[in-house]
Amino acid sequence: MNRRAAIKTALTIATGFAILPRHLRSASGPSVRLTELRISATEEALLAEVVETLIPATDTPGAKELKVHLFVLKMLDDCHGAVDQRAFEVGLRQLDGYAQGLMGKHFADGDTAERENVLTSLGRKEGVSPELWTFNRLMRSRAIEGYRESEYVMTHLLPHRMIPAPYDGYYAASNYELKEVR
Amino acid sequence: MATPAINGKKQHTFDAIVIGSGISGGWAAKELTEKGLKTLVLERGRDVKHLVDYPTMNKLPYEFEHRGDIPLKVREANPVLSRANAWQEDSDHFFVKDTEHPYVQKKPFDWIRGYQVGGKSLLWARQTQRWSNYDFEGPARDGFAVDWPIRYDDLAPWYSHVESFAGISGNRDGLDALPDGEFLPPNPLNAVDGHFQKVLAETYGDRHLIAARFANLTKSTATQLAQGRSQCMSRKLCRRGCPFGGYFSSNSSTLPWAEKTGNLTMRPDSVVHSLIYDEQKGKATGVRVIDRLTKETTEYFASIIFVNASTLNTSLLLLNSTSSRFPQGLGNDNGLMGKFVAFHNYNAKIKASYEGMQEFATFGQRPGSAYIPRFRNLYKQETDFLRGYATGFSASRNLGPNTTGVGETLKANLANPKLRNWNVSGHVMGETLPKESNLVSLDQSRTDEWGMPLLNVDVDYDENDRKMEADALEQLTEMFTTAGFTNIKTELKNQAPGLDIHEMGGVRMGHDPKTSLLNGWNQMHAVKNVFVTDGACMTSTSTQNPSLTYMALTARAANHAVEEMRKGNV
Repeated sequence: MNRRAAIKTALTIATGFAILPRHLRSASGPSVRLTELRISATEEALLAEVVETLIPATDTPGAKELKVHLFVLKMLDDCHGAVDQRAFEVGLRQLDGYAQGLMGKHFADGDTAERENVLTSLGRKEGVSPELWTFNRLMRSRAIEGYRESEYVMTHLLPHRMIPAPYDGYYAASNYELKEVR
Repeated sequence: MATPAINGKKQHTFDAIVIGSGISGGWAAKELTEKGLKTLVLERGRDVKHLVDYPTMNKLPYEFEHRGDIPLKVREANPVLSRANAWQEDSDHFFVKDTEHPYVQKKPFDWIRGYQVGGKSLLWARQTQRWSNYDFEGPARDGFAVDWPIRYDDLAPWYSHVESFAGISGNRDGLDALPDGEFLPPNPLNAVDGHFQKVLAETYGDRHLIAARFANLTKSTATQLAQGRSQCMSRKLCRRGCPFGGYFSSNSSTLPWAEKTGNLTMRPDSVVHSLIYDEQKGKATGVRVIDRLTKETTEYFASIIFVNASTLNTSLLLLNSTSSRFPQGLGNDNGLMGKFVAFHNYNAKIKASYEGMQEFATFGQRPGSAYIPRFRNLYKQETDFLRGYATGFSASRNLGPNTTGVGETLKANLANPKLRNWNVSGHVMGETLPKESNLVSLDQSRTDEWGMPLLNVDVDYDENDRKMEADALEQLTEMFTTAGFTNIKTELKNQAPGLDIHEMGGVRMGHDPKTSLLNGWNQMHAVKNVFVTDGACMTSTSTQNPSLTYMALTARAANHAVEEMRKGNV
């Protein structure tokens, strides 16, 4: 991450934190206002580790720094029904037990490879409770959405153009394949 | 005490009143004010000023809390609206919520409405195809509805008139089914559009794929620049209102133009209750208006009245305009008002992939797509159903996210979107037959917040629609197969009528006062100074997107009204 981007990200995080009311920063509740979803601060912290495992910080920010876990909670709370919400809550609560069964320690204590293995295993469905499987599916799709449509990615990584280039219906396909972004 | 009343009446008297400010009301306002008539435009909803009242027009995707989604509780509270594609987080403020304006569904009917200055012209899909004589002569040839009192030649100069001003893109394709017009450069076709076009021409001869005509400015000529409108930037965010005025709406085009004449008075928040009929004069003298916010009633007067309240609301308003001369609604001597409602059948959809044209892809976006004009039963009756269908066609091949993997692998995949395969899709727009049993009427007991009767909507598909949609899928499957498209999937949606947002009829045109309500000039047979030029006037529906025809009919009727007024005939 270049210096300018780092400062911008730091500012976003700082202001994001500063505007939260005090009671939302308490140890017991989550740091976004939720009306349907019942999530504790500890569970929120675990979710942050989960999305960070899914999309980690490299030389660019990862999902945790971009607050993707809070986006996941917001979307689950506002745009999903009770069935998804209950499965998400239960699945999130089951996650650490599942991780312990797989690697013999808490999810948060695993190294990168171990944590990634937990997420990969969740996607395979076998030996995974329906709630945990649903949790993983919802978390994954909303986290990818939140990351791809974050301000950081849309301004630095894959810049979004409000005014796109003129349409070309005979664009050489090879032009796309030549571009590799790291 | 008499003086203030006289002054009040004077202040409330205009040359013309236009009820509604949507796509047709805007045109009535423009034409009437340009001809020097002091014109009052009444709009039931709030004011929406071009550029000023488009709060989301320049927002970035991440500036929307739900990235475009409407929260589930809001969707559940609005089951009808939730089925409309254009209802998203960025356009929410331009749609009527189910609960705000209830109506009675005798049969399922999705009534999608936009109550604000500009109406649904802010939200429309902007396809603008002319009708041909095969459409105007349809009812007479095939023996349904009644004969249109006009033919293509009556409307052709008015199509040109509105196209030149609004700015319509298209090719001169030289097709019988879809007459050419005054076009800006066309929306570009792509490699697979071109391939399909070639296959259709070679295989069938009478089936054509063209660039659909669209009301987006592929180029801004002096006419649009004078309106303050510049070229479309292909943002594909039209539903938010356009900062460039790149597509046609009442807000960006006709209403500000009318305002510039100095002859326009706009009154938003004005729910028209009824038209006032004067038995001695034998004409309508004005309208009763309920203020949306204060609920106060006011009257306004004018020599001519244009009713452009939107298809079903126009029937509602006229049915509610009762007097001792017209106990069943203004001009409704034959009892047909509200009847013969029809729409477009959008049930049939098809999609597929294409393995060819691998050397090409698409880059950027375009506001338009391709279009296959009606080929069924065009020159003569050839199937066991009446009329035909047009098909919207679209092909694309661009970058899509690669969402596989976990950790750094996923992150690298997300940073490197993959070139997808060609996807193609078609959606069918079928003509439906107006029938007396497809109708709207006033609810006898329930009223809305403004004391207006609720509207009963009783509209359904019929056997002809079912046969036509089956034929469309069969023909399109054959055409797709011939073109080498693979993985073809067809779908019959069975969506409720109304969701096409092409509802038409209820106050139809015709030759005979016994079987129609309007004459060939959109003038009420029985009340000559009242003109109905929105979708309510339509005798039949054709397959083409109807807005352009409403615009042309309105401009024609408005100019006729002014002539008649000057001759002292209305």
